[in-house]
Amino acid sequence: MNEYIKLAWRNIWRNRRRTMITSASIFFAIFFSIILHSFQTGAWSNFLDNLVSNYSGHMQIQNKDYFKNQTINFSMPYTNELHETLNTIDEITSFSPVIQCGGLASSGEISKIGIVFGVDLNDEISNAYVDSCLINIFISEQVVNELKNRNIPNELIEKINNLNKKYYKNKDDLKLNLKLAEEEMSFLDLIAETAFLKSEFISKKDNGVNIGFELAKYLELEIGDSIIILGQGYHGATAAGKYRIKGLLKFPAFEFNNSVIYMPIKTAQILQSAYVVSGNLQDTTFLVNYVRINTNNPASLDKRSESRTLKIKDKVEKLIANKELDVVYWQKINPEMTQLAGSKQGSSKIISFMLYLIIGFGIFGTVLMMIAERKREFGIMIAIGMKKGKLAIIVILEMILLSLLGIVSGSIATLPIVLIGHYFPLKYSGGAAEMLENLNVEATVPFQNVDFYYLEQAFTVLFIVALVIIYPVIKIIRTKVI
Amino acid sequence: MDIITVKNLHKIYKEAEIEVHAVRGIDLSFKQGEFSAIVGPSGSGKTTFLNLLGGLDTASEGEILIDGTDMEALRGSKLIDFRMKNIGFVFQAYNLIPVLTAKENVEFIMHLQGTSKAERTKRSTELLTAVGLGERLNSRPGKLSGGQQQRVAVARALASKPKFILADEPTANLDSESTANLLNIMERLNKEENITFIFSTHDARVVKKARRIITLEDGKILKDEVK
Ligand SMILES: Nc1ncnc2c1ncn2[C@@H]1O[C@H](COP(=O)(O)OP(=O)(O)O)[C@@H](O)[C@H]1O
Ligand SMILES: [Mg+2]
Repeated sequence: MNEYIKLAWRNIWRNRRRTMITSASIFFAIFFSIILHSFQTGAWSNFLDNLVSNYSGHMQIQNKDYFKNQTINFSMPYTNELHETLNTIDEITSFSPVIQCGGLASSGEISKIGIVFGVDLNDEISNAYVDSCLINIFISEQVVNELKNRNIPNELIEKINNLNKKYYKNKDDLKLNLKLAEEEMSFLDLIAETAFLKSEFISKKDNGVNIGFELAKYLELEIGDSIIILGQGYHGATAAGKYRIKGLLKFPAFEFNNSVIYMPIKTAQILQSAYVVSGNLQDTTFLVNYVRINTNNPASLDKRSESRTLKIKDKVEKLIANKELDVVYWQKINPEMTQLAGSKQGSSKIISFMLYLIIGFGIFGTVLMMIAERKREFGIMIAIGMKKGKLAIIVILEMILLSLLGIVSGSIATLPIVLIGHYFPLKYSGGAAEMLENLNVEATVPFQNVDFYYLEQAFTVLFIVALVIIYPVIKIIRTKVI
Repeated sequence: MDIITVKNLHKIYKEAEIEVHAVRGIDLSFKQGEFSAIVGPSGSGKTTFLNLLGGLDTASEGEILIDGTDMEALRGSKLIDFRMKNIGFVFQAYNLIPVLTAKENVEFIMHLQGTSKAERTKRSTELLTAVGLGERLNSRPGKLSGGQQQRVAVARALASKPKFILADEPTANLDSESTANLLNIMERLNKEENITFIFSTHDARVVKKARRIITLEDGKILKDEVK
């Protein structure tokens, strides 16, 4: 075999220029295809994982009937054993019980349908997000009037007036909407201070809730006022409660601002009578809609990600060992998202396909020329005792070596870009960044790290080469010696 | 003893509508140790005849026995193996594999035959020394003159220890000095090693060296004289 590789290697350098051109075409196809894939898959996977881990979670543990009937009646007990079991699973990076239900929110005279979320106060990550959505600035009539008495240019007062009765999360949010001119920047602190609104995150200590600011507006409620919630509890129990509003929330999604009511999970469970008492009161088991789990396997477009997900799902199922419970994972929970992401990836596949089609023809051209040039040489080799099969092997080796030159050099050339792009990702700026951050999505575009897809690309090229090689092999087998 | 027996050999080329009767009934035999020239004007069928003898082409009619084996009966890789073991070839030009050195070219067949590396090195060096190229073992064909290339081709043809060597106009592209040089080497190998050479030529100087001269005309034997 060594002898053949030697011969093949020397043969490809007989026509140095042609070899360079052919392998350069493979080089560029591999290069662009990998960069494209890494960029697209990386960016989409990052976006996807952010959304999935923030909202549905990578997985959920549910009552086996919950997926079809998403009500408290199909909730599940959240026991200490379950909590401990989940703690022991290495693949799980975080988990939190989730309780949510619809209810009528009312201020006494006015009412509106709202959604109650029970917040696990131990789940720092999602708390941090809700916390970041708290409103701390409110431009009221009074604020505008107060600012008029300060030494503020009229144009700026005009701008502030335009934001009358508007809520902002913080100074940055305000700044973005106020569209301050350079020379007006110095007034930002003053405006923010004057318009400060004290919104506080819910805590275990009191009976307080955080609600969407549009809901508060509709119900004509302010911070410090009480809100009444009425609804259906567990197995037909009446759910009713009165809570103090500790803070207003502003989410990027309008429907949320219109409806959400956040309260500590225990408070929500008691509201809905979502608990089962067996024997004495100490043995109370609280119920939750589901347990949200994030794992060390990010949501990704990578095909292997799903199989890793399935492995973790199996493990969790085995360890919690409860026939009443199901583990569902994000692809099942968000089928639309999975599809959307898949279709985005399709476009990069088409471009890669075209690149490879072009190099396919390129390689074919090279093969045709090579065969034509060496017809006589092949004849002589066969005349002196070379079997046709062996000759074909040499030609195949030549094409493989030629392709490997392009594949290996092209892949290596992508490494700096892919690695830097992965570890020091590009950042969105301006409006796009703001929008993503509002969605609680990192505003970065990391490249997908070096992974299996390098091999996929390499094998794609080798597959094309294999197709193209059929022709010379047939030619060789049909070679007449003279 | 006859190593080659040819009986009533015919070759008809059919190309499109035209038939060319290139060899028209040749009966002939060759003995071990011959040094024979096939001569005749261009188009008389020399190349066709040698190709048939070497199993590079198939006869339209007739029979070729090499050491009792009927060439007709051999096909595909059996034929390739048979050729490698029994027949050495020297073509008019472009005999050598351009990417291999002189030594590697000679070793190539031995490699195909599975000869050990030590044996290959020994024999290729001996053969190239015998054809006067002991100093050029590691030169690639491109760096050798036409005459030197033909001598490498002779060395290569001998590498597999064939029963005879067929050479189709081996000197056609050589100047007179190289021609003389090559012929001397062939003659010496014939005399000292008893190697059978059958070569075609239309060069008078080459014809003079031959001990048997077979003259072809229109695919038939016109004369067959032994000196
Ligand atoms: N492959 C072929 N197809 C058709 N005709 C051929 C072929 N090879 C040789 N011929 C014809 O056969 C005849 C003998 O040719 P060849 O054996 O080459 O003669 P020589 O070697 O003596 O010059 C010529 O008329 C030539 O044109
Ligand atoms: Mg001829």
